[in-house]
Amino acid sequence: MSGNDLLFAVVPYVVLALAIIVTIVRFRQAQFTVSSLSSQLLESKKLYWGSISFHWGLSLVLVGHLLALLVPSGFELWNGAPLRLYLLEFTGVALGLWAAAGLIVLVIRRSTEPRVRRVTTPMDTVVMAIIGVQIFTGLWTAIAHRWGSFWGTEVMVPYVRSLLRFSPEPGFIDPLPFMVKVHVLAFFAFLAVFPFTRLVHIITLPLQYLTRPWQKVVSVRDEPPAEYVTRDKNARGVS
Amino acid sequence: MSSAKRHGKARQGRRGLHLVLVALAATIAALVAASSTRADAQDPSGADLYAQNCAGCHQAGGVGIEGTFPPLASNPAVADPAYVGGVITNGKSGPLEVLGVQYDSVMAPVAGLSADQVEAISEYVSGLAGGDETTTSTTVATEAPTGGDADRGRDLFIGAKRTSEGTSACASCHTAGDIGNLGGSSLGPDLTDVYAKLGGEAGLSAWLTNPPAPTMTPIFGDHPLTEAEIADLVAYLAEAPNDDEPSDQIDWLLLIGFIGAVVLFAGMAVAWRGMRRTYVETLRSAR
Repeated sequence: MSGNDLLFAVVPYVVLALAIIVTIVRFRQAQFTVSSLSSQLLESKKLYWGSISFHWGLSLVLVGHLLALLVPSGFELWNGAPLRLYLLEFTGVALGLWAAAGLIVLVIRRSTEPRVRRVTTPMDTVVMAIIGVQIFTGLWTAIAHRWGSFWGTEVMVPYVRSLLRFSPEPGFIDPLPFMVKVHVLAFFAFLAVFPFTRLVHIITLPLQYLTRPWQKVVSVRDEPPAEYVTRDKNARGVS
Repeated sequence: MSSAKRHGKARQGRRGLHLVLVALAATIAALVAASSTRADAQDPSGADLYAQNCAGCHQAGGVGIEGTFPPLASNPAVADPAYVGGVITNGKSGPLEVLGVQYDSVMAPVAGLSADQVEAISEYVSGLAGGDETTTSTTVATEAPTGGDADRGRDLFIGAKRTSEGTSACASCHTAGDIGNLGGSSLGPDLTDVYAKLGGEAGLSAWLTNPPAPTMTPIFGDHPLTEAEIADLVAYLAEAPNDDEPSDQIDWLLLIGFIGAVVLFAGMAVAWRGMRRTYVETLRSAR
């Protein structure tokens, strides 16, 4: 068995088994840890700029990847006109850059905000590193090995489908450029750490949020407006 | 939670861990077993394998195409099976003189062959080396191709028209000449000059009949192009060098993507302005 076979035909099943089994075990035995453990109360402004762009950018790109896997022929028909192809690729790059900028904001927030830093675990760093590699290699592939939405239908889709059919064909990946291979491996790394990190919050997609009334998180730590402060300023913190 | 309950949870946790380890071990064992049996397919002869993998360019009987694909028949270099095996596995490019004719072509490593299959082909090809002196190379037509339609070829190339076997468009991996403003894909080589590089119609048609590149074999192996499609593509690629080449492709893609990201951030600033404010700020501004 070659190294390529090991990485692209065996590793995917190992990490998938890990992701599924450990997630189930964690959900059954420590359900309250299946969460992203929000740090919004500790810092919310940088979180807004980082989190919204990161999550929306990444989710939309992920939907694009999944759609390509489901209906590759739709992508081939769409890409048959150069202008439509460019529109799709520009959108992907824009969303990728949006997510990348969001991740950079989140990394800065985690490393410079003392309160957020205090609650940051080593595994949070690992998660950010893996997703950082994922976004970087994805953008690299989009720009240097364009057009991924086009060749992906003939190379990546058959490969992923072969994995899902339990007859892996790593030969599809073998001749691809280094950065594309790293992109695939980074996803396996993502799956491997999934059940051991905050990433498990992905399975807790809060669909009830769509229908319930909105809520506002209020922190008493914010400095209150002067007119709401009734007691003497000099006395604060003493009583 | 009582101490007994906590211990119970801890025991459960360990049981869960054991379950995970057992499942992982089983998965790995099953996969190793599966992958070791995967290669045991039936064994076609060296001649069959040659016909499937090599004859597209080197032609039946190894006569080659003069000036484009070197002959194997009567070629003393291929008498050594180890040399042939090396070329099949690693490919071969650059200037080469065979039987007094100069060649400067590109042969990619042949994909999807087991070590046994490479050996079978090598044995077959080395048998051709001493071969029939009367074989003559196919000669190359260097003039413009006949029969194909360049416009149909362009449609096939960019994917506006699907191939009969439903394989993806050439532009999904390649660019050639002036396709749109930003060109085709940059995953595979630029095919602008491929017509000349592969020695015109005969060489390019031979290549397309059975594309020997490792990325193309899995795609076109079971879904070959038809003769008419090949003729159209050859006609298009013969004209491609006359097109203006697009310039600065990468910069445009990055630049427009960057502008898109900035627009998205601007959208965030506008659409969710209220969300960034703390409750206290909302109270303050309401007064």
